Amino acid sequence: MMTASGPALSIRDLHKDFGAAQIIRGISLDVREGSFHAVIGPNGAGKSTFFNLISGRFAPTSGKILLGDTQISGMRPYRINRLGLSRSFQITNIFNEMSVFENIRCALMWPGRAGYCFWRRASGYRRIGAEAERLIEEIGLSARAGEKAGNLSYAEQRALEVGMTIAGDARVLLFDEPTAGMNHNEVEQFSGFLRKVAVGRTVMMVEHDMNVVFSLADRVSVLVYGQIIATGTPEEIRQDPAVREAYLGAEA
Amino acid sequence: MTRSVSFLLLGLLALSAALALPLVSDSRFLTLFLTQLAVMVTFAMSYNVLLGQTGLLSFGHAVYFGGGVFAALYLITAIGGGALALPLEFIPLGGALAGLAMAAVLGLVSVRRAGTTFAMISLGMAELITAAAMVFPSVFGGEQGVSTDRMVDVTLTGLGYGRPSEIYLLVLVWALVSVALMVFLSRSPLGRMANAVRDNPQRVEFLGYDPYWIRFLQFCIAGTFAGLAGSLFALTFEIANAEVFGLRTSANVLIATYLGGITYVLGPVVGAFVVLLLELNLARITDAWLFYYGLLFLAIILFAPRGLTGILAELPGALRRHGAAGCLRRALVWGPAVLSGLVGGVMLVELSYHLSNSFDPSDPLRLFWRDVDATNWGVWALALGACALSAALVLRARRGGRRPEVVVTPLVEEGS
Repeated sequence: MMTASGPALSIRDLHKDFGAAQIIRGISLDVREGSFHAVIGPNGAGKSTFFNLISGRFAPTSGKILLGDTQISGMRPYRINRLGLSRSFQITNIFNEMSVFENIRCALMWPGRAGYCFWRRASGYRRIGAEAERLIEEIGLSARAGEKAGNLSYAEQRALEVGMTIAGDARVLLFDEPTAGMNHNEVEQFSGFLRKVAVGRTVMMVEHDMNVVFSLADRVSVLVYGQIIATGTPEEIRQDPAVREAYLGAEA
Repeated sequence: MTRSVSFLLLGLLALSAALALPLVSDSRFLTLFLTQLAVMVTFAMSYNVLLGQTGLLSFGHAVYFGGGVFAALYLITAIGGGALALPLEFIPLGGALAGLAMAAVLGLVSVRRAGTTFAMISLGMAELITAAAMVFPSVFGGEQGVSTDRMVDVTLTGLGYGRPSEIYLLVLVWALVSVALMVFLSRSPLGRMANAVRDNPQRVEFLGYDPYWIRFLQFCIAGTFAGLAGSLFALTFEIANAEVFGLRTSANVLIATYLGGITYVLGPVVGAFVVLLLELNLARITDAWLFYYGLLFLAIILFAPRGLTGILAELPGALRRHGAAGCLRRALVWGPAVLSGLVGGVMLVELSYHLSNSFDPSDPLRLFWRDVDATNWGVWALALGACALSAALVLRARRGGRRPEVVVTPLVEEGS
């Protein structure tokens, strides 16, 4: 269901310096509501930094980020998250000492309005518990629900990572290399899963696997040295001479 | 899940036994021991709200305990003097409020960061408060401290609380309520998110929660129950000086909690029990008790990071894996090695202590139910021999048992 309203995420002249190093050098980009938008680019182009700026992990040096109509640049991550933006991490980022169920439940606590409550039992929130079980089934970890997250296999941890990201009802999802470190079969399975997850939401994804990018994304932006050199449909990107030269050149 | 329930039941069973014991026997020592145990359990549980649940290593938890102690001492005196019409039974609420107030103020600056920063700030706070308390002898009573008399006229039950068994009942009831509340809190959304903050504060930020606020609330809870424990201490001993704020108290609760096992909700109960037992009994047997206490702490850190509760909890698993015969074989291989090491080690320590500390080193030393002469080389040879035997047995056991499962048994526990 696409609406004619403004972009889900809109970035204006974004800059980020680390000391003398300019990592992000003026990005402007609109991410359409309901689109699946991939960001590609060579190593060191600033893709992860870009995501860290949007999700609030770093504050930008200058520029604006709008989530819907709300200006979020420089906000703390938890505030941005509450406004409906959720992200996953390239390096698996879960709660190792807690069970799979508890990991997912923690991700559902805030959206489920449990807040900082200390006068009720967590298990008393039936809706959160039921939703956690449904979600665990969706990510295929039902058999492992009671296992400590730290004991899961790598692929299972990746699934849990994404499960925690999609928990709740964030309108905008950011995936940072969701298939990193997976083998061919796992990647195939996982892209199907991502496609399902993306329905009805706006997704931004950093990804190295071009098969995944071209099969999932309806928009692609190419980031090179902290600047976006092209944005368009996968087909347009494939044809773009500047992109071919700067990035796809050697492979295509 | 079922394991924690059975632990809870076991704990309740032990506590009801504790309730009944002083009624059956009228040993003063036992009553005092159990009273102190109830105080220590409450204090250690409150400490684990920080360490085990939220991942905050504090070196200054005594500050909030001490706040409760002095608040209670003054409140009891006020009741006794007729200035306050509060029944004595509610004194712990005053202690809890004092702990909460202090934690709310000091917590604001303490919990900004976890890890080393938090640990160092807590250490600084402890030193600051102790020093400040020393500077105000009019409030904290200087060396001789502040004392009170808990035998007041205003009580709810009509008990006079003069006798140790009466105050024990009061302390026990409050300790039980506190433990139950802390277990409950650990299962609330806040408690669960505190575990998440312990494991990975950064990820929590991307799930809509502010880790600072979670740490702060947990800090306040810990301070509240530490203050309550302090007021129970005040009710028991009726006297305290500024030293309760000090590092000695903070270190004690850290060690008790860690010994018991920080990953278990009721681990601190076990730890408090063992520490108190050592403090009260070992000190009567040997001058070197602190040395052994330190060694035990080291051994737990090195070989059983899940604490004594962890050892107990992993026994059934080990039995299942190796079978009864396998476990027995292991015990037969390792038992003599550990035992001879302990005997040799204790002999060396006791002999050295005797040589350096006694007025006349040739005075007979009571060692393993026999009088020995520490200046006689024969005993030393025996001690060194036992150590050498132990070393040889350890080497042999390790060579014999070079299967991977032997080496990795401790930490990774599958199942349930």
